[in-house]
Amino acid sequence: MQEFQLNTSPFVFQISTNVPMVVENAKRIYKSHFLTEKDFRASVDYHLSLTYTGGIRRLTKSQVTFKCDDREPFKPLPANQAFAMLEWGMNWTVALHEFQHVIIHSAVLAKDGKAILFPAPPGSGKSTLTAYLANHGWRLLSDEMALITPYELNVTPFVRAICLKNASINLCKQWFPDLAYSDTAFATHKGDVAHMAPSDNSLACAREQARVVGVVFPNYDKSLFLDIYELDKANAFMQFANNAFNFNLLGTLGFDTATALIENAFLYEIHYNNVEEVERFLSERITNT
Amino acid sequence: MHPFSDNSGVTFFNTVNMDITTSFIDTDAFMAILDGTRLADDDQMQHIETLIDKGILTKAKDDL
Repeated sequence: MQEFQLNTSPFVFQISTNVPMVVENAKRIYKSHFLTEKDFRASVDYHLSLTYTGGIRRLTKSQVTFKCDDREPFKPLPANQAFAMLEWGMNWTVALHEFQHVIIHSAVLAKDGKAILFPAPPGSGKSTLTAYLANHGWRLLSDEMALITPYELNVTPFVRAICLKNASINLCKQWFPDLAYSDTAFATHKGDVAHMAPSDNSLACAREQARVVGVVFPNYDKSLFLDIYELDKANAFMQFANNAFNFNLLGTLGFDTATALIENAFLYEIHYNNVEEVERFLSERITNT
Repeated sequence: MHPFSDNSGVTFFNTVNMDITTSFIDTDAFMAILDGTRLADDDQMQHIETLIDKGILTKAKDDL
């Protein structure tokens, strides 16, 4: 059994595993934020494990099990999905246990200290857009969840790998051949999945908060070059609240933070098939904010 | 309750069951209806009935 830590500020995960591909992929993706025993942080937020399931099944069709503090939230998955399972497990762990922030299912990118949230359901092209922006002058704060400081409207980075699915895996590998990617997990419940390493700049700035100035709901549509709609606040709030993870835990604190954010941010829905145009629009919009 | 500043609607948070309900009703008109200084039209009445059904608004005893 191997132990390592992932120092993905603001959380430190300690992971036990007997699955070699988990260690290899974590090291490749998180680089200097992958800590071996000699560099371990004393303070660990979450203890996770990813191990082969026991029994005779391992000889024919091996599976892996994810545990958080000895709880097993998911059914076992095929062993080739082990690293993806770790990433999903880390998301689940934070979404379920984090009380200090209002958490929204959203990508977060920033420029000049100003952040835009991109809340979106699967299939909207969020991660592909995130990957593109994160390598074109924007700082990645998160691909998956926005950690918003209650009442202050600042977002805390939680810099992690970007989860690419299906066609976007090869697309991103063509765009950014020099970046590190995890092994592809084939035929998961989300299709084929690979994780892209966050940029060195994003990791280096992982303790720098950014102020939320905009909320953009992306929708990839191959038939539309770029359509932009400014949303009214009630409509934007409804979509925003649908992506909230922990309103039920935070109660009024979460609701008040979300309404304050919507009142103070620019709000757009974009339909696009060209990420360069989206980048150009967002850069201009954020410069004028 | 939060009435949005662009007058696009009002959102309510039920602190008991954590339900969020957003009503796309003109904010000023909504407040005037609640104050009793204006009568609701059919569309507005539908919004208000929904809020009553969800337990966000309660009919005054006089109306029961």
